[in-house]
Amino acid sequence: MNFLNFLEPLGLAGLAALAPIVALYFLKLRREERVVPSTLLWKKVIKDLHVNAPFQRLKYSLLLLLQLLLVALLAFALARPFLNMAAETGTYTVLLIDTSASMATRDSGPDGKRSRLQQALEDAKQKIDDMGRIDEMCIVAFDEDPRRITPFTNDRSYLKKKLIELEPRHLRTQAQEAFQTALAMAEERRGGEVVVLSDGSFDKLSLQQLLGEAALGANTEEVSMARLRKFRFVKYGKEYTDNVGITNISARTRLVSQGTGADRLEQLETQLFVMVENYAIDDVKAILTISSDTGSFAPMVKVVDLKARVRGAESLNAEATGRTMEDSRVAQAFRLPPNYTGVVTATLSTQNGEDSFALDNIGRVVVGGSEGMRVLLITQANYFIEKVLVVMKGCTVAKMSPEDFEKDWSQRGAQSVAEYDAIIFDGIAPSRWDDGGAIFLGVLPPLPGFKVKTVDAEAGAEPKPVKLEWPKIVDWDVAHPAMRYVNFGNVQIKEVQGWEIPKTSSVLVEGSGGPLIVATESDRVNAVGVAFELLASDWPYRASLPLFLRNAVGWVSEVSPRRRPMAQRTGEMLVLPPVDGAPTATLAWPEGARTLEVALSATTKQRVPNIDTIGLYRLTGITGDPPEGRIYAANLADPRESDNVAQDAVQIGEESLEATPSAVEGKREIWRNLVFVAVCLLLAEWAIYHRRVGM
Amino acid sequence: MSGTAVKSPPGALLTPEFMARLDALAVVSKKILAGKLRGERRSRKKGESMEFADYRNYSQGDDLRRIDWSLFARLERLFLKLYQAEEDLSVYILVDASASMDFGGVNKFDYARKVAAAVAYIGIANLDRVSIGVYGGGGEEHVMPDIRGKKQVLRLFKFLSEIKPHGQTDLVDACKRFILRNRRPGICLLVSDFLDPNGFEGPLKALVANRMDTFAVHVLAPEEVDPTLAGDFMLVDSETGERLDVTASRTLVENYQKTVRGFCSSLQQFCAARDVTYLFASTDLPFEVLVLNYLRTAGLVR
Repeated sequence: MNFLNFLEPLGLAGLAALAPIVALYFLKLRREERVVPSTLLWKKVIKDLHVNAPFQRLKYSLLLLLQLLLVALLAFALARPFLNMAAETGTYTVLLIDTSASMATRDSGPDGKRSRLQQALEDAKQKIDDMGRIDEMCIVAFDEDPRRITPFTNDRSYLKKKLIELEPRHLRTQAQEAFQTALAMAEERRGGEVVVLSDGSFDKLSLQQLLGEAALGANTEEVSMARLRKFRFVKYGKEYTDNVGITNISARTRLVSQGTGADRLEQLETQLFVMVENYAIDDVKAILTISSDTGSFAPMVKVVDLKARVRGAESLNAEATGRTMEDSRVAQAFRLPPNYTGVVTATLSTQNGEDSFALDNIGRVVVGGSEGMRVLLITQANYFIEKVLVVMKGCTVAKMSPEDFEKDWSQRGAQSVAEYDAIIFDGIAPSRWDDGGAIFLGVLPPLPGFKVKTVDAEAGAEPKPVKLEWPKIVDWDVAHPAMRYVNFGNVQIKEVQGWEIPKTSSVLVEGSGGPLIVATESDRVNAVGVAFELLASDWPYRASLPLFLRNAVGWVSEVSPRRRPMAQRTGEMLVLPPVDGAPTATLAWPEGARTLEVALSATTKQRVPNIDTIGLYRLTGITGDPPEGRIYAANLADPRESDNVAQDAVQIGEESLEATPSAVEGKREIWRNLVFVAVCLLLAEWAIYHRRVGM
Repeated sequence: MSGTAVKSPPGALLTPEFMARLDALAVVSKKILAGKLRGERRSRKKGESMEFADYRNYSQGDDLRRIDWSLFARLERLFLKLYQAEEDLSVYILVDASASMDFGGVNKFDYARKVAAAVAYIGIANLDRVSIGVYGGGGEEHVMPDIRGKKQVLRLFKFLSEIKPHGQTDLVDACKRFILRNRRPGICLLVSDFLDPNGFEGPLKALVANRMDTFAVHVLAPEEVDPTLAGDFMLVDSETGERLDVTASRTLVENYQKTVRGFCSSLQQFCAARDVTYLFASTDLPFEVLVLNYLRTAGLVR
């Protein structure tokens, strides 16, 4: 390995300029006149030295020497010499740059105020500058997914241009796939290496996945280590953090009753849940402020005491220290005014104002359904239910006949019931149900796992559904929200359908022959199924029916798409509901950074990827919507990103990839130093020249 | 020796204090030279001084006053008492006033004329016959012959002060002209830098051949002996205007210094071979020290 090499050896051709300088020196040597008493003795001296006079003339001519040195230095600088330092980089380099949210932490650079990504990009630029004539580099950015920014190329300006376009994205880090991709790219080229510019703030990687399970079996440990050595990890950020952040924010709307008797009013109440965590090494007093974007309620402020984060060995010794990780984490609940609609913003600040990571200091939730509960009853005629629903003041009840529903459903699908929070299907059910709250009376819920029990009939005949007559009430689950205050013991049922239900469902009322009322719950569906027709029982005459219906409507409506508080994590796809007429709408990213024309469907949900920025997304252009459009909120809400302590090593299986201090230590170009010295020489020459002339 | 003090005017070549010290000195010669007039110098001849020298037989016509009557009483023969004769001494001072002498932090010509003035003063003070010749370039000469008596001192100083060095050195010509004018043997002090393109041998040979007790005072400036040159220079000869390109490297300067030392050494050897007293005087040596110490050591003054 040569200590000094050149990136542009052709630059050494500049040394040819030395010859004209020497020639000019002889031709245009400016001599200072000096009167001496007699040149008699000088002539004698010159005569003695005459044999090697040209060399003598060159000797100690400081100006000439400086000029020659200057030109030589510039020629060397043109050749872009570099010093090979301790770690020599490969000829083919994959720059794997972490663009996840934690890289936005401002704790890097000389002043400690630069973001980790900015510093990483600076180093990357330097590394691109240091590339040799035949070196090639490719850039891969990673956060949730790896993205190949450039192919292998030697084009420095192209690499730099692409590098400038990189910005921190408000996404979590999924390093495994990125490392695998980078390793595969590096191994495509001989001597390729991967330089990882990251804070290491991600989960342990799997060595098996990284090297490939099959390969791991076949390879010896040495080969595996050699492959791992292709990685060089350059750490950005500090080993401690002052971050306090919102690591989760969600809201839940439920039906609550206000008042009693005739004044009783059903209202929607939204509760906001905010999880605040302290990752700093000191105890922190955090101020959590909940505010409305429209100012419809006064900001709610809470001061939260958070203990210092317990880490490493300390966390294993929780009993001795009396401190646990839970002490640095506090969940706060806020009750919003009834029927509130709009954006709710949770803002976190600390008393000393220090927080280098701002992305997790804000969380937003969009709360919808301002006009209160809307219930759709699909029934031929059911006096009792209608009567019960009318009593629920504050709820808007619409009624539809099964025929109209079927017609509408066949045309618009789920869109036909999208305006309602709860739908009561009386004796009729749609073909499938996958979003929203519904109560199925006397009809099997069209949900996965629900089947009608049948008995095997004679050969060739249709299997017969099982019907149970006069089942005994075995038990009912009073703990379930839908069964609150409901006494089912006095209900007589003439005939019940035999249902097979999935194990995930819960039986609200258990009959002697099977479930009588079941409830099922998932992310997007809350459904209650009653396995008998109301009119085939004496339940309509019991006080428990209105109670049950009110409870059930309240419970199933909690998942209403219309009122579902909209807050998602960055990186998740934005799900847009079907819209009548399938219009084309415009989705604007926060701060108007980007817009996207979205062709909405009339029947199916549209999913929009690249939700990579925290903030409010606005969908505009749909007829009937307010001018500001539909609003969706995206939050970071990721404890792993909030825990932004830079790691000294990347854990890959049992191996650890230790951080090297700098990305650019491989080759250090010294042409700038040479030019600097050359300029100094020029100044010195200028000074000497003027001093002589003035002598 | 006279004790009369001569007051020098302001700007004079010698200070009264220095002249007072010079009063105690006398110019001496290694050879006893015949004087023209009776002076204060012991002659090879027998004369009429107070100092007894010898006896001789009386011969007819001798001065009867010189007969030693005491001896006649004892020996009854007439003897004459002979006394040492005392004569004056010719002191010749030649000063080089070529352009090359007009050089140095302490000007070489200034130094040379002070030395000349001091020696001349000593000679005058001892009733010697002092002649000064100052020879510049282009055959120009300033001569002040046969100065005797201290009354001439101020005139001598004025004479020396008014001369400006210029022109090219031609010591041979200067010496020849000087000898033609001053045939009488005496002490000859030649003050010069001896940087004569025609060489230093000619003038010295001419002086020695004319039975002059010659003293050569070689005046050089320290800048000539150890030049502080570094770099590219065009040296201009102060006498000829000749130009010479030199790149003054350390080696070149060292060679020059060697050459200067060689030049001085060859002049010294030449002088030694011809019974000429050689004195090297760098102008950084105070001329008072030169006169009071060096010239005394060299035997010019006593």
